[in-house]
Amino acid sequence: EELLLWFHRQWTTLRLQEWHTCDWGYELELCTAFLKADCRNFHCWNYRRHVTEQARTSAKDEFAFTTKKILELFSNYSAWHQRSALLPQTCTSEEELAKALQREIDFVKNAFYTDAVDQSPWLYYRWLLSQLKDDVDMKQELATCEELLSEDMELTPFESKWPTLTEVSIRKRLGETSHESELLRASLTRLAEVDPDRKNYYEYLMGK
Amino acid sequence: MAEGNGDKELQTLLREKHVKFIRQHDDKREDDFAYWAVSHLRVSGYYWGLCAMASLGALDDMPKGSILSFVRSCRHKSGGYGGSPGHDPHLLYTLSAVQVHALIGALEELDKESISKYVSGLQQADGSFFGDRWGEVDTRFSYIALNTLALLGRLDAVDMSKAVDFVLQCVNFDGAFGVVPGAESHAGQTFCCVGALAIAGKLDQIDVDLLGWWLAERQLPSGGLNGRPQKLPDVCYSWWVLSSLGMLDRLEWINKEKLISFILQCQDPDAGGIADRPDDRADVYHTFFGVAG
Repeated sequence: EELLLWFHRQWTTLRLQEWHTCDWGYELELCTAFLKADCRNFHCWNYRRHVTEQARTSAKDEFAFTTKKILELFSNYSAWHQRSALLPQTCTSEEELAKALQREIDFVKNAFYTDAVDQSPWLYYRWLLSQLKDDVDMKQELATCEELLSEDMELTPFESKWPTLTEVSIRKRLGETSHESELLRASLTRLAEVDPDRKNYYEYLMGK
Repeated sequence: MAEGNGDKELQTLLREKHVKFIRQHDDKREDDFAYWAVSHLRVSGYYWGLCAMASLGALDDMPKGSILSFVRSCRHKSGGYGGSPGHDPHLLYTLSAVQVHALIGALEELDKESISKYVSGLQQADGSFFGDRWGEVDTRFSYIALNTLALLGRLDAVDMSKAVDFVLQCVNFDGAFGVVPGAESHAGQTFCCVGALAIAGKLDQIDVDLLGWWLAERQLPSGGLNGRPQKLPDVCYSWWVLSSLGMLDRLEWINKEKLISFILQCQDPDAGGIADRPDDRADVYHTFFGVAG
């Protein structure tokens, strides 16, 4: 994880490219191999971005790589992050992006339905929701959270944190306030109980 | 290496032990490999040590004269400072040199013009900063450049607007910041970006609530803070995360008592000093950040 070594390699590849040619295919394979050993090495992810930029790898190909890494490990935050940066680049129109967002919502649900406690997919989901433009779509997602939190799913209080937090953020996006919405107040109270270390944050949300 | 920490409940800051731990680092053990292995960052080591001692109320215990003399000898003709005498200059050690002078009350001794020129010479067209002439770009350097110039009262030496623009390009989907545009969010880089924006008076340009929450989520059940999701806690994040929350005015969003307890557990009760996590080996860097937290 030594930062300077990665920079040195980056600098060297650029000089190689200037003076002769750099084998970017090899460099990309190297990244793939290193990320297999340590999928959260952000120096390597950065270096991979440098290589794909130089090699002009398509956003769609790299997007597929993040899919592979996520399917290997749902909690791979580095892959979800990369996915968030690439998603807009894989679309050429607003309509395409809207469809892509819906596909992404379905994809991320696989992850958090498998393990409700894993924060990475929830953070990505929250970002996807922030990109939605339609209240109808938002209400659909509110129903998803409510379904997860329903008694049938038997989530423990600890497991309920992320769906509850997401439910709260959707309600706020839909314009609900704690003053008027008993459901919102109840969720924030529950959050302060299951996640007491951050109770002041939930109190802040209650007051907004 | 400390033994048996798990058996003792470390509930107070072992001030005297930490003072002694830091003070002993100045003994030149030139036959010790470790002394030479860190020579490239010795100037920064002095900053961490001095700052920790200041926080512990023991600044006067440090040999200020000889430290200043050492730092002066690291000055390069370009105006920048290297990590040790004869080492190439770099922004990292230039800031540490200025900070050491500031802590000791010797800012007026610095050649502010040449330092400002060195720093401004490293700014790029997109507002980013190289660390040195070899061209590494990193949001750490944006913070370091602005911090250096702010201490010297010379923020006019660079293009602040472009510097801010570059930092804002490094915001990610989670509201936090990475090392360059497109890089994954990290608490250390986030501290640098929030610091740079705070110096520039531009914190209104980011989603403070979203970032504050991401930072608050760095607190783990042990009370310690990590640098990004799913990583282990580390005492240095007591500074990076806490200071960021402080600048954003969201300090109360984490559990203060549990964090304090975590830091205290990282102390070495025998040799003094603070480690990155309980039962690991102490070093000056983590001692500084633990005490500051």
